[in-house]
Amino acid sequence: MTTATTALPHRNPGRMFLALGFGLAALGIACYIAQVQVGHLKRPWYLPLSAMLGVVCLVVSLWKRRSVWRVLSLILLVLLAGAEWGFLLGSRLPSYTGTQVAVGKSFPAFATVKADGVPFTQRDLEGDRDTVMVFFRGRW
Amino acid sequence: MKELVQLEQRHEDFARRETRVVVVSVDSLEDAKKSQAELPHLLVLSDEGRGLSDAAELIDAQNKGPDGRAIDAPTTILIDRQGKVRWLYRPGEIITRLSPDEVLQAIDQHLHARP
Repeated sequence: MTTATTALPHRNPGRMFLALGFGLAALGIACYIAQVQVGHLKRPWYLPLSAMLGVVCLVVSLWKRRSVWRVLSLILLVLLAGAEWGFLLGSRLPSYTGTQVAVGKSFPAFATVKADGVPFTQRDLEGDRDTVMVFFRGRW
Repeated sequence: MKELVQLEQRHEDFARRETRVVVVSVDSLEDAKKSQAELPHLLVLSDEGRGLSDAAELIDAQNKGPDGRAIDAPTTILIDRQGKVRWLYRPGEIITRLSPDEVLQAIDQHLHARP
């Protein structure tokens, strides 16, 4: 006795690509959150790239089966990828073009205050220790 | 602030290199006091009057604080004990910062390697 097997037509073709597309986009965001949480403050190029890979997967999914939801999903991921590229490229900083701070030159004269209100000037940079001066954006 | 917490956690490595870490922002005196309390091994400056940031030309016009005024661009400068600049680093993006290991490496390379 022989058993004949016939392949059933896939009920929802391209569904795997749909899930993969959203998964890749979500994975990029999750990785960036984890990266910031562990304090690895570097350029996350993978963030828009993962969203773009997600877009490719959604295009494949849409090619396999067209539906309004898939079109909307594709638009959503395209917008997400665009926003992530905007975030990455919009955060670019111009290089230092000032003339006052130059390697080999004395730090320019200035007057500011310490957190306790005591004055602090360029003379306070001289002494028995070297200094790392870190300019940051503030507490907000 | 996260990068400052990381620098605070590595304060012994900076002390071993006879280097102090001075952190500067245009925060008010009140905010600088809060930062100083959280970062006891760093020296926090309140440059609200922009005396230091303007002198060093570090204010970035594209970078605005919550009050709409331009603020400092993230920048790290190494200064030797004679007050001379030995190294300046500005990241390519506002979201990028040096890790403590990278700062320590720069100290070894630019401050302690001098003859």
